[in-house]
Amino acid sequence: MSDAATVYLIDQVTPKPGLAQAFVQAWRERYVPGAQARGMRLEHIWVTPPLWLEDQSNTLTIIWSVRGAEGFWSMSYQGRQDPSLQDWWWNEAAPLIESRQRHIASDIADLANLAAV
Amino acid sequence: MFNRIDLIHLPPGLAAAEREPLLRTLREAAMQGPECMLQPTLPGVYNGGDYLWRQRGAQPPFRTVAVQALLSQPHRVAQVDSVAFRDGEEGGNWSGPGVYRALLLSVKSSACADALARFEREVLAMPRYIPSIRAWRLSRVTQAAGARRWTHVWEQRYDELAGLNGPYMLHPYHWAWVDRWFDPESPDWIVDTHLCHSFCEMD
Repeated sequence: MSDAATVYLIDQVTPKPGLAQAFVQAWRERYVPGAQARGMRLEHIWVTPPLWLEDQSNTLTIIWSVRGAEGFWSMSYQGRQDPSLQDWWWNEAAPLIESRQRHIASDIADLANLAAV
Repeated sequence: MFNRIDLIHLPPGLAAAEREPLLRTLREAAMQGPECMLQPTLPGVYNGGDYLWRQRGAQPPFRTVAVQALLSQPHRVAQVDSVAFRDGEEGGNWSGPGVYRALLLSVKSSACADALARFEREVLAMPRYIPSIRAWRLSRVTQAAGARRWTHVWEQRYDELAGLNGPYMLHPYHWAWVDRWFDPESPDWIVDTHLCHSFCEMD
């Protein structure tokens, strides 16, 4: 039942100093609707530290979820067919971002199920 | 060893009468090489062509004049994706029947040497986690033609197609780790999204 395990996509984004709110606004408009249409469920948007900094950088931790390997491939395949998604990350969002990482994770209890393929 | 792979894409709906001279010439050429495989691709390939032609030998494989002429006829051949390469790092057991798979990929020229080395190392570690990969070889391409400037070919042998479509595609080492190099959403992305994923039966 590995396809039933919840898989988390963790986007850790550090916008340039003072640009965190601008990034979030653009991200909500340009990225979120398409991501949800591809089957991604938005679980959390965490802001570190928990206030908007003006001359320093916040770090955003955005948690998405999909269902198992099938959910991941479906989401990812649809994204790779959409040139506007590349454009978002590499052209539109890039000037607002100091650094970012994407991690893919699951609950420790699901490791064995996910690997049982 | 020297290697060459040609993925031959036929025009949609090509009549059997047009297909037969091509196949006859390719088969004749295939019989001349020390190690040749010419097989129709299996359903499910992605940019994988209709025929997979693989040549391998102590000397660089080449196309005969007859083959070159046929492959240049647009009414018989829509496109050919080709790679020539020396053996890269490999492992496992290539003997025996099963399913042969080749992935042609193009690493962006902007990728730094460190990222390229990590990418290659992580791809080569896939068989450690995915035992359905019975044999593997990752090679850097020396000559490329087709839809992209192919830089690498990632070859594998499976006992059966289920080993490719099941464990290989569904293991988290693949989609949750190695795939980030292929994913334009990932900041680690270095591989062009246009890939040739081709596979066929092997004797």
